[in-house]
Amino acid sequence: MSVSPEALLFRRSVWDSRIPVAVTFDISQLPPGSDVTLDTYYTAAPRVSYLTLLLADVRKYLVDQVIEPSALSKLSEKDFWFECEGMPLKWHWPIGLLYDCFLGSSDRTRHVPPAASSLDDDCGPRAGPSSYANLPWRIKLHIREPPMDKLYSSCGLDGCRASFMSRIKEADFVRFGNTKRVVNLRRQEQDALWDGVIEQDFDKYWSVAAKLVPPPSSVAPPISRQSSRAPSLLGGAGLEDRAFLTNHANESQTSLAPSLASNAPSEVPSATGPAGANAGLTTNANKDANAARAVPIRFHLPDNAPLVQEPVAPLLEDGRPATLQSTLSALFPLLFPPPPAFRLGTIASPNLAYPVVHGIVVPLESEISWLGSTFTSADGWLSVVIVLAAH
Amino acid sequence: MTPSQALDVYKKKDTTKVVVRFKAIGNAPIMRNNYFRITAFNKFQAVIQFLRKELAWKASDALFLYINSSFSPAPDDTVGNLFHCFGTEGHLIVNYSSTAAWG
Repeated sequence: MSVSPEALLFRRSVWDSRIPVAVTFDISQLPPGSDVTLDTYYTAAPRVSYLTLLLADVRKYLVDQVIEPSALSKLSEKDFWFECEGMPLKWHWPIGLLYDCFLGSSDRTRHVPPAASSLDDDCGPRAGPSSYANLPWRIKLHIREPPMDKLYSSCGLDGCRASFMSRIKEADFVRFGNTKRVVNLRRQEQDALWDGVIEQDFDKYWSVAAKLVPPPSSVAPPISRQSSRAPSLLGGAGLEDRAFLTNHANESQTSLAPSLASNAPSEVPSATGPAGANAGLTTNANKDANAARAVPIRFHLPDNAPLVQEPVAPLLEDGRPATLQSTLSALFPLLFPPPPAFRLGTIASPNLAYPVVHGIVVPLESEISWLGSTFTSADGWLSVVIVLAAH
Repeated sequence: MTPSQALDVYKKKDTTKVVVRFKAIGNAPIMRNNYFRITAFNKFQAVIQFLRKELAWKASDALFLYINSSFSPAPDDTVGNLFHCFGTEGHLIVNYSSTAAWG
């Protein structure tokens, strides 16, 4: 199934983005005789990966170097777990999501007001200096007594894979009402999904995932914004730069975004390429992202508010595409007040929060189905982290 | 209203009830009453514990739970979220088995 070059670039950017992580011990927990001259392990962790997949290197380059062999033999890797500022880090959530939730919930984020750059600023969202102050992401390795009531799963590879495959099936169910697409994959194809994550092999993963995740609809308003935005996200800055935009705030999403979304005529032809480029799609026209029943999407609110997982249909009742604004206004109207009906002189109430996906403040006019097709994590889900605006 | 005050509204627990229908697979014991009403804010972990208790399952014995005969939810998913996404005909169908049934 063919996907436009733009969609492919976004998928690759998500796949390639990484977070610098510094893993340390809680020194007070170390057994006697440990050598703490080497106390930190640094890595660039892929956002779509899992902490379980970092464990082998953490063990080799940190644990085995610091803890004496005799003390080491008494430890069980099953008791290992990571924590950040008191928050145990779940094994079954992607690393990028853990980081975004951590930043989204921390007070420091809230004090960085959304910068008022214009929507036409083709530099797109950029990380302000304050976000770099959080890097590398410092997480602690604990070697005993995992808090299972907060972690909900243990660090084993098999468990992590099983959980990953279940999320993939769940996403399939949300999209199409059954899990046939996943079940019909051959064994090697199912393995390629997880192996692709382990090996960070984009082609291996997407060669199979493309059978599950429909391409973006070729009818894609408001395209002028999207196409001008694509190069800004993809060009220039290094991968790391792109991955840590959480603190940076968005543009004037509050006033412009709703009107853009609402004005967008649905007949606008795609800027993702001439019709010929999507020729492969025409026979599969019913299979693009707008044809799915719903988009697998989760909303992570800060400060331990319950996670919201709600099937969101790609199109609104009137046939216009559902956008982040329309979805967030429907689910959380107090944080994202619905735009008023169009009348001259009416002013939209300001939003009290902004959405972050893969560390990027995503414009509210983004279409849900487009995000679900290009911005999903490897488990097939689109995770939107809601960050409160400065007050 | 400040952002924090708005957020507080969404921190409230969903106290609606979800009808969970348990279905045995393979040689797992069949329950006489297999419909239960469970409050939506409960995590799936609570469903697992509830079922183990109903079946008088030993802590050491394996029990596998699935939704819609296809996938195991994460234990920290709430019953309400699972019902919204995977509910069928007003129920959340939970299959249980003493052996792994669907990978």
